Amino acid sequence: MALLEINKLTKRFSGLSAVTDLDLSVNEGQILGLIGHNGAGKTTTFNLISGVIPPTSGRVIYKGKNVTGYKPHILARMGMVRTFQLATVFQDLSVLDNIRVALNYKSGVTFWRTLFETPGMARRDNSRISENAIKLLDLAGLKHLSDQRAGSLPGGYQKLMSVVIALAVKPDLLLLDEPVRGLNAEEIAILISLVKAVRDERGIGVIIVEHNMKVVMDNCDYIVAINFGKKIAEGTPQEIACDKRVIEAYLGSE
Amino acid sequence: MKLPRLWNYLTVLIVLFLVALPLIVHSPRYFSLIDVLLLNIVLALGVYSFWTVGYLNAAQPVFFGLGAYTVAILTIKVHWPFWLIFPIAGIIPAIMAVILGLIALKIRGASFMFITIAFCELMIWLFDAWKGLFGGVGGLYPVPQPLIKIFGLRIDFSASMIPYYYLALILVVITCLVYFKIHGSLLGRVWQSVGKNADLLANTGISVFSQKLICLVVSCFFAGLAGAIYAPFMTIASPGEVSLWQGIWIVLGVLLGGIYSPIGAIIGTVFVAILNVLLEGYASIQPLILGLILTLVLLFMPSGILGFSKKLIAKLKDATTKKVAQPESKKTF
Repeated sequence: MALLEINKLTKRFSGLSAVTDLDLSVNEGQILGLIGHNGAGKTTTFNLISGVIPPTSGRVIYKGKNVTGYKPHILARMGMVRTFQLATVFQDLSVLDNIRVALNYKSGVTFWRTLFETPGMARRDNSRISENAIKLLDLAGLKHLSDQRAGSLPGGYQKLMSVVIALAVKPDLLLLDEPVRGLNAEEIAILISLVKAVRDERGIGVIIVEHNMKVVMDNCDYIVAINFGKKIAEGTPQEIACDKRVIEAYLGSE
Repeated sequence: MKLPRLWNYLTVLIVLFLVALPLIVHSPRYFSLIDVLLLNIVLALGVYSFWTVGYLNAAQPVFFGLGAYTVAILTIKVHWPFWLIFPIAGIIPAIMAVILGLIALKIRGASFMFITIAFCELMIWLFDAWKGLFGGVGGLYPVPQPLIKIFGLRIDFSASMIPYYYLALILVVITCLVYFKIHGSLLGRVWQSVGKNADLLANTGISVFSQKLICLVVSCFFAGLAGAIYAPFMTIASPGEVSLWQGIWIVLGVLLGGIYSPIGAIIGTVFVAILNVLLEGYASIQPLILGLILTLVLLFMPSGILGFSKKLIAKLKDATTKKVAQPESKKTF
């Protein structure tokens, strides 16, 4: 059983079809690359899968369950977590607080508990959450930046943080929306190795939307290429590299 | 925002001062003003809290009014004791907040404030029009004075204003404890994020809608309790006690204080109250002065009074630490 399966997913905006009859599947432990030009419908596909917008037709099946149209926070609780292109971090919070907020739901600290907990309980909760947050930041090499305001970090670090935030939610399926855009080679290496480490350890599935062809070709197990909202090719990196339609569509792009 | 030790002592001093206030202030007029100020602080804290999740609520007086009317109706018509009615006066507005939230919270941002304005006017009209329940334009009068008997003490609220003062003070302290606790905790950070980056927050498994609703309901609960003290204090619950104008004053006080901390909301509200007193004789130009001050504050102190003070203190610190090179400094404040 595939971790995620999309059947004939379609989204029309006032007559314009952004995504048409898209079929896709991701297995546990698999890294799937989703490539296409700007405007090809990649982010829309993510938005459809993660419940940000409802599809016009088609189904999203996650862990065997039909989750089409489920709200984003429900899907996150089920283990489907995504990153965003622009809204990467909580700008005004510190780096540590960013991860602590991301851990909040899973750590079971509710409103009533916050209100009525004793200082002792509060201390224990806080140190437990902070400890977990620091461990996560350490994996990405960001621990030394804990107290800095997240918005003041350079863009590359913010992107890295957005992945850490996603990982804090203990995903089973990770949807990465252009995670390496704007990063230098070193930062890309850190991000990819972080994702792969989690994939190796916990067998998560990953869908990565990217323009950086080298990253996609080097790291994806399987690639789906879309153009104008329709799938034009799919296969292993080797197959895609030789695929005429893909070459035609992307001739000259990086 | 973690406050240094000095502020803890300052807080204790302020509280002691407030407890001793009745001994210092004898003028009934100022005493009454201070009492109302305390209740406004309770309202302002709720508005502040809701501001952190991204909305401005100009209808806080409505929930205040609902609390007042609850007390008036239940004491006059059903003769329930005050201690029983008091929490109910918080719950009824809380229920109304749930209704408002379910209808209006699907909307983002600025439009919500307009809905609260419309809601406020609608409720004032309702208080006026539904004569059977709310007593029409004259309201419900007189509201009986509470008589509380606890631990052998007999507290007669009809004797003087002092019991009202202490009741209001206790409510303010409890409200402050609740809100400072929440906003200093991880939940406070979560609520901040609701306002600023709801999509990312939803992605961590948190129901943004639920958080907004909880925040609104809590703020309206406390507003209702404040109204519950107001009704017997003024011996009246009428549409005249609820006004959109007051709602906007409260919002402005909160905006003046800045978003960094609930303390800002308190400072801003006190500032606005003092301003109101100073402008008392000039009712016609009040809006003008108000608009002028607000514009000036937003231009020169965009992060509110508190944000401005923080920056000022930071600048002073920089200036003094340049001269003093020793690492172990006394608290330069």
